[in-house]
Amino acid sequence: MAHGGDILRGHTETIILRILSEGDSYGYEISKSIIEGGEGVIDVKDATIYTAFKRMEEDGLLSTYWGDGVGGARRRYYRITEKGRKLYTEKAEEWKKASRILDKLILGAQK
Amino acid sequence: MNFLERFKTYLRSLFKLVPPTKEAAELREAMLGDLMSRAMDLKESGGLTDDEIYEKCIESIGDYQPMLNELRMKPLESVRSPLFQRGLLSVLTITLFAVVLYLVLAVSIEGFWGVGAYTVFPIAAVAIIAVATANPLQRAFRLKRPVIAAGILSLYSVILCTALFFVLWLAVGISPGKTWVSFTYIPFLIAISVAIATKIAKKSLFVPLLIAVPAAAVPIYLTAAVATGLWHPLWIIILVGLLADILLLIFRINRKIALKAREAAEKEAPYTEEDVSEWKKR
Repeated sequence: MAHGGDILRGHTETIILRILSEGDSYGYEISKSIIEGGEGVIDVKDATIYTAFKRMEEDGLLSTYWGDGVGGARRRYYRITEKGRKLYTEKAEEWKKASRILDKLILGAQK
Repeated sequence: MNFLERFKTYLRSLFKLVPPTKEAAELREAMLGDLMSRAMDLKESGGLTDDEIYEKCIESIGDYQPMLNELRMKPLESVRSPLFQRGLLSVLTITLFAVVLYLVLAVSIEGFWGVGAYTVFPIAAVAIIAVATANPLQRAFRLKRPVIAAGILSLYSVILCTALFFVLWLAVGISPGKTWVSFTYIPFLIAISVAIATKIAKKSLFVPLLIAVPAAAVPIYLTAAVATGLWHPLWIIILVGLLADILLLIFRINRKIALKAREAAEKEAPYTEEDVSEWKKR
């Protein structure tokens, strides 16, 4: 089985865009939903997510605001922008095509 | 210590070498919010001790070094920072002001060429040092960085004693055979600087105090002896300083022993008050 980080590589931003396209969220919630969706294979660290947030914010894919948190600390929420939604649609289409081709090439007649 | 304080302490050490920009402050606060959310979530699920939860939360951050490196300023950016530019502008202004003042006074006052050179320029130099260190000192206090605070305050101590030496000699007219005593106050003032810095870090003041007492006794003795010429009986001042130190030490050891004894008594108490009342009922 490939290492969790290898599966994620190159797709972290798209996955974050998908999660945010379903509603605003904050760092811990996003990493939790990636880990839970990863069936125990994917373990994403906060540092990876923060680095992606920074790049995505600079590219205008998401905006941020402060919201209520727990235990006396505020949460930094992220919201997807129009540009982010557009990019997500493109990336999702690319992925559908790539996975269809890879399925065919790797699995062959097994399917 | 609760989670919030533990995470804050951890993040403080993590961000120690990161310049306090808005971006860094926001990342730090976002991390605190996420760490707290994770900790509360794990606590609700149950099954883990607070220490295990804390460890798990810190582990979840992962390799933070590349992320923090991006926040460090590159040399060119430091030059572009408004703080640096304002500092440079202040230094240039003070220098220009000092040169103009010197020239104007020297032309208008007879015999000022010599006196002016060793008054105006050292004063300008001190002003430049004050301007250059004011901001770092303020920040050291705000961010609770005792080493930087102690360093800057010690620098002030050295400047103060040197200035005192020259003022007493050249302005008051006391011979340098006597005014050298002003330099002996430097260790005392440095000890006080360290004490102030220790206070910022909320650590025990005992060691700085232990150094400050004899460090004060020596210059006080020298000042009194040089002023009066009574070197012989006045050495008692040093003795008083040393005695005060010994007394401090005895008090300290006494308190430590008392504390230890109390702890031991609490640990080894064969029965609690509840046991006693239970026993009386029987």
